[in-house]
Amino acid sequence: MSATKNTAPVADQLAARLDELATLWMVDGPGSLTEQRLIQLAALAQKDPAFAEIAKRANALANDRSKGKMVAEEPFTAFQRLMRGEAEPVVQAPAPAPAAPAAAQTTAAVAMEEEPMEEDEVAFDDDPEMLAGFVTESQEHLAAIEEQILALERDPSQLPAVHAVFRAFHTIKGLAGFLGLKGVQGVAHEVETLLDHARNSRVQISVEIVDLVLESSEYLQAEVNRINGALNGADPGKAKNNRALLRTIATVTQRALEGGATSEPAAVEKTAPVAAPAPAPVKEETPAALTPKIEAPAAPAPVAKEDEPVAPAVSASTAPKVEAAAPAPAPKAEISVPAALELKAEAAPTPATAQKKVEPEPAAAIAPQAAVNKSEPISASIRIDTAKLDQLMDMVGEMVIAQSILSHNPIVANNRDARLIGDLAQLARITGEVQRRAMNIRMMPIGPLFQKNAKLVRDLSRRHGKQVELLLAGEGTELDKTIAEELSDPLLHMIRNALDHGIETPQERAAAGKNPTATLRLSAEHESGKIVVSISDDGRGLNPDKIFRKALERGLVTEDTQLTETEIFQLIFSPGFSTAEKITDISGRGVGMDVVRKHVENLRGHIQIESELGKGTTFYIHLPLTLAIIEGLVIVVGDHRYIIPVFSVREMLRPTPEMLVRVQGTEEMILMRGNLYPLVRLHRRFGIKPRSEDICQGLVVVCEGAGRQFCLHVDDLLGRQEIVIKSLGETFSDNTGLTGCAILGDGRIGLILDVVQIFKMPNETGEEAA
Amino acid sequence: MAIKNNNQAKQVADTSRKHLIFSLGEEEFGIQVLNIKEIIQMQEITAVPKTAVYVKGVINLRGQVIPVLDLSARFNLPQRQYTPHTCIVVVRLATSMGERLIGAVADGVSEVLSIAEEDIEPSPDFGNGASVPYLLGMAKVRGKVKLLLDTDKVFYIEASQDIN
Repeated sequence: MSATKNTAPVADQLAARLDELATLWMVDGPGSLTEQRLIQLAALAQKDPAFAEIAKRANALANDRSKGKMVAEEPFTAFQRLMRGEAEPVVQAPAPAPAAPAAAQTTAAVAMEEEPMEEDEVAFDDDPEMLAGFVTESQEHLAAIEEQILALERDPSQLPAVHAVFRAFHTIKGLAGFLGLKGVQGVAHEVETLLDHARNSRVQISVEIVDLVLESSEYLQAEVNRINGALNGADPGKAKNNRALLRTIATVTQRALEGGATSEPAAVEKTAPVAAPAPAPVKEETPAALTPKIEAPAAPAPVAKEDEPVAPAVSASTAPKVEAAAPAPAPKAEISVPAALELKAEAAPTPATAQKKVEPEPAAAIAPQAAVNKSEPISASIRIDTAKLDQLMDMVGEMVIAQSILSHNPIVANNRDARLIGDLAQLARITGEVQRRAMNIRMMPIGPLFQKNAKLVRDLSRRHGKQVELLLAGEGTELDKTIAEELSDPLLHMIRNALDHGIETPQERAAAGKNPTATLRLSAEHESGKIVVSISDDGRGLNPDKIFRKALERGLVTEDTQLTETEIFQLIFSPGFSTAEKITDISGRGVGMDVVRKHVENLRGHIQIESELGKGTTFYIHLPLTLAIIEGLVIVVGDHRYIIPVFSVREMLRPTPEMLVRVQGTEEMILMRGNLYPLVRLHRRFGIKPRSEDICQGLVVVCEGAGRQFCLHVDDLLGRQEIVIKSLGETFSDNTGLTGCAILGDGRIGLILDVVQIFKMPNETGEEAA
Repeated sequence: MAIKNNNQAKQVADTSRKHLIFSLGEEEFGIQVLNIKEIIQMQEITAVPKTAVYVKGVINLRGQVIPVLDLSARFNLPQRQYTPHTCIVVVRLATSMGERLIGAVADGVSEVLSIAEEDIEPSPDFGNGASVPYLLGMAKVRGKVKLLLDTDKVFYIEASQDIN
């Protein structure tokens, strides 16, 4: 620690990086990034003798690696220790049997950490940048941990997932070590040790271990939050005492090591018949180091095959799954052993159904797999400041406009030179492609957002004694980062809602003749240039009568209001509406479905509900692919051009005089196909001069927003085009009636109208108004 | 204000003394060159409804949308026709959100003057209790007076609710 601490901060960072890389190395082999680091390291070694030894060692390791030698673990640990400044001059001889020394080292480390909780040495004002880096990086790793460990719980044989979790903990440990965050380091270290055993197949992943890892990651998360708070000026406070946690981890590690044997039979006894044949293969597997790793993932396969006849009828019923699960032969039981301990039906069918679901939808199945694999090489992506991305987008937008201006230049447009025409066409193609790619940078898969909720479902269903199986589909579907972020809250709330209101208790389900384990399905897919995220449960479904009565009670509707079922369902989005008989800690946290709808509408999306009483409910959230580009109608009022987003336009027409209806002399309405719509004259709202006051000389645009429709009178329509939305800036942030602006084809700015606000705002009474 | 200017002069030596001189009608104004991003030719300004009279609208500055002010309206000067000399002076403002750009229509820019601190007098007091809020001071150069603007104040745009 001290050796590196004394050198420049860049060296610290580099060392932390190397530490992480060393881990990567062990698992994945060196990447190009590693080489880069080696070069940097060499440069550093020239300047600072303290790094000479590290550089030498690193090079030697890289050589071993490139010669295809399996680099044993021991030199790496030494390497890491060295980087941390724990002087250790002796280069380890080629590692003997890996198990023994590793274990020895572990116990030594455990002894070291078992001392009373060490105080953090971190100084919050010392290295704010490094700490901030630690916070962001740790958060990423913690998210990865959560995702992977839940995957592990479903299928404990997934070795890559163990590696991923191990790596994440290892990196956090390394980072925390350099920053002197002893609490974090200690916990991360212990978990790492445990996982190290797991990835070497000395320990079988069990529910206990999964819980423990999750608990540890929660501890780390709390610590990271504390540090983040401190960085933002809050009182850093003290690190939470981790002694108890450390002890638990050590005990579990010990117990797990002594016998996957002792702990697992215990589980078996409880879940008697199903799991009975399990311990045998497990035990055999444990000492046999590497070979079973390959066999293990293969295990679920036979089960899936047996289920195959049932597979196509995914939606038919969950009942057959359970039947299939019960008499399942040994390999199946092996998977469910750890899960069976506490989750029983909840977790047990998961692998089976996951496999089953996969069969009819190969595409959906590949996507999550690919996502998991993709997350392996960490160095494949870089982090960019979003401001830089925005600047890039701006410039790309400018380029597209400049290109368009150039191609519309009369001289260019009239030229007959074939070569120039060809070159210009090429330029146009390239510009278009650059724009498309630049837009694509902001896109990210929805998977992580779903994963975030996986743990929530697990926690809540356990706490409320409900058995829920979460199915994910279409995790690879990409959407704009901003949308993904903004979608997080509504999604969370809707899942809570489904768990609380939608899904019944196992008893109720059994009484209704359903599978006691409910299914909650999250999926995302592209649909005609939009994204549809659906949240589907097979719970009790929405009861239109109950909703209507409730709405009546709340004064949202009157006795004689005639509503279709769809309209009744939409009532649950009204402010102040809640059908929950009692407020639980799942839902009813002050966020109603009205807030959910508002969120989604802010993202220019809408929610559609399908529900069948007793069968379940599906919420479809329709969202645009990106917030950055919308389709807009360019309209004219007087000398001004405005843009109306197409999503808020229902139709457009040139009215006839008899359609105009006057109400109380001042207000106007348009009568169209028997419906009356309020008429809003845009020029009066904005206080500008129109070309004509006669609405028959202009057009009316039927706009829709916030659940109501009205007509907007404008002079003319110029066209429809895709526009890149820009903010008007903080100067006009509170300007009503506008959502932003866009640069039109001629380089001028068009203002984008917010039709809902325009409807609500009063007319301008300035002198220009006619 | 003069004192503030004084300090700055010491720190940044010559550059802070340099002022861009531009005209609005009969009057000449100065803005510290340090605060100026660029001067661009007049272009079509998109009016934003429901804003103060001195806000001309927004322009597209190479992909960035920036507001443009009409300082004549701000200073209650008579409106004039645009001429080939009419231009937009783009000024940098430091805000809590980082640097922000804002433009101002000028009848024309004439020169960049290095104004010595001793030539700057504090903003005038007209005795009616209201001193001129946008001025840093007044500079006497070759017998003519240039009004030095406090960019932070003159380019501050009140929230639209406050207008009426």
